Amino acid sequence: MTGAAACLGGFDGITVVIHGSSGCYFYPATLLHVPLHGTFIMENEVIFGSEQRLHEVLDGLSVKGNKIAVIMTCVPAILGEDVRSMLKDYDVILVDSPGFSGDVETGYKKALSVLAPSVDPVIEGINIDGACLLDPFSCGNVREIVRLLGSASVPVGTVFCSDRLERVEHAAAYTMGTNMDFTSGVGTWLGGTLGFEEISATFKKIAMVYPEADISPVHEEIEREDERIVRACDKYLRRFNPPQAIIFSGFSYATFAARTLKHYLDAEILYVGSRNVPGISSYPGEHVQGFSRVTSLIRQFNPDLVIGSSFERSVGGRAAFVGRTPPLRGRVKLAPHPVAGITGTLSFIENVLNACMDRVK
Amino acid sequence: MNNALNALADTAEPCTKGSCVNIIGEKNLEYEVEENFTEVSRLLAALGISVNLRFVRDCSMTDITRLGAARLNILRDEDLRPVGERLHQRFGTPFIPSFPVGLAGTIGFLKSVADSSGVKYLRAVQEEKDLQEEILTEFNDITGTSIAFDPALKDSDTFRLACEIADEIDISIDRDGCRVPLEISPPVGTTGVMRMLHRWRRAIHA
Repeated sequence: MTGAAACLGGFDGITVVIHGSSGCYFYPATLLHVPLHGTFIMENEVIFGSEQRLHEVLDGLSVKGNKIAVIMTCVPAILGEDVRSMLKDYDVILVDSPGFSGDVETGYKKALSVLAPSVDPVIEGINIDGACLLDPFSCGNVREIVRLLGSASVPVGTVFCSDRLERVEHAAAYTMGTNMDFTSGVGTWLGGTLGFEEISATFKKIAMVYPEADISPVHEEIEREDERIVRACDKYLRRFNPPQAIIFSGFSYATFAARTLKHYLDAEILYVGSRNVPGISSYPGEHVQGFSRVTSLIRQFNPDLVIGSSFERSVGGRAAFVGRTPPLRGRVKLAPHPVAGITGTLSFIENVLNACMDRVK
Repeated sequence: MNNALNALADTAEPCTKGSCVNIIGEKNLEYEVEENFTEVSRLLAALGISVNLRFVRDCSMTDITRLGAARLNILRDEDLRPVGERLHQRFGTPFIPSFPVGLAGTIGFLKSVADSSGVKYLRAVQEEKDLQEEILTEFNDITGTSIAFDPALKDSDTFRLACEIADEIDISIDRDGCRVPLEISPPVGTTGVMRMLHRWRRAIHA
């Protein structure tokens, strides 16, 4: 449900209604930080049906002028109500995505498929994938990739999912990624932007499909910043041992973190706990579901460095901590820091070095 | 610097000797100054020896009055020999002329300190050799590779040490090899060598 809300809530022109109890509303509302609406069904609706309540909320919202999207949650789903027929007189998008139907990525994909994105051959530019309100680095990622495309003189197509609703059906023919746990499947895939190698390869493909592009500024920037990172990491290694790291994150960010730590710091990657179903990886790891498993892994491996969320931080003990996974509580976050792009790698390494040095003090 | 250290040393009076050692002439602006001290302290601790005074780092004029209380002085490097000799003359304290450098050099350091302090060294030496063996094994994945250093460092002690270490782990040195970092000051102790190898591996795998 939260994945669906994160997808739909990212589009200007959609009003999202969570059809469920108040808890189902408050959870995404606190995580996604966008206006959401809820039907707040209670025992009355559970027993006598939720149609009246649903219509009441939709009637109140229809004056706003946006397209309304209704997300089904666990309670109405289990009640077995025919919500589609309840909505027959309303021009709404219905996404059947109760919490038990899968994880965040499942809900996100489902919602996006309901929006039915499509390529418009006359649209120039490259779409940007991987924007998800649940990802604290999403805004930063999009800004960073827009910046890099701009420096290569390449226009931006549709940003999935952080754009105007009408652009969903007018996507460009080619797509590049940021957080690859959230892909749209729209257009021809050119590649990702997590780490310099990926960025370089993707921009080379952009140059092949977009002859007007000048990718030399991007490559020059990569070369320059790679040199700075190498120098900073080498300086770190003069004084300190490479960190032994355990990483808990979505698979996409986790493999980026592991690759980057290994490449620049000769770090030992003790374990990767993937929040979602992991893909193929050369690092030891598993799909970690549950706080007790996180705790036992951290105790077992006793790492110098933990990459994860506030949960991992709470059981990380004296290990250095770098937050790259939601939720990241207890921190004010205003600036749009990325994980993707050149700035994303710079930011990650900076955070790791500072965290590790602070830990030693 | 030697003149400054000798001038400061002259403010201290001879006193009763204990069982500790002084560290003489650390380079306060050296990037790894604390890590080098930590490594030397680790080696001394393996012999059951502690540090009396760091002359001069993080110490007060009051601390300097204890200068003569050490059984042994360990100089940062050979350039401080005039200071070592002055302290020997004034307080009767023998000295080791430099921090441990290289794997064999670290074993030699343990033996020299132990002999000077009248303590046994067999266990400490064996444990250190075991540690060195373990560390070298960790870098088996870069065996057979080819590396190059900055030619400007060709005549330095660091270069000689780096060649020895490369030989230990069967890495060849070739002008066309992968350029790996090397500092002007040789790495201190076994830990210093380990960190150097980590930097080499990072560069080789980059």
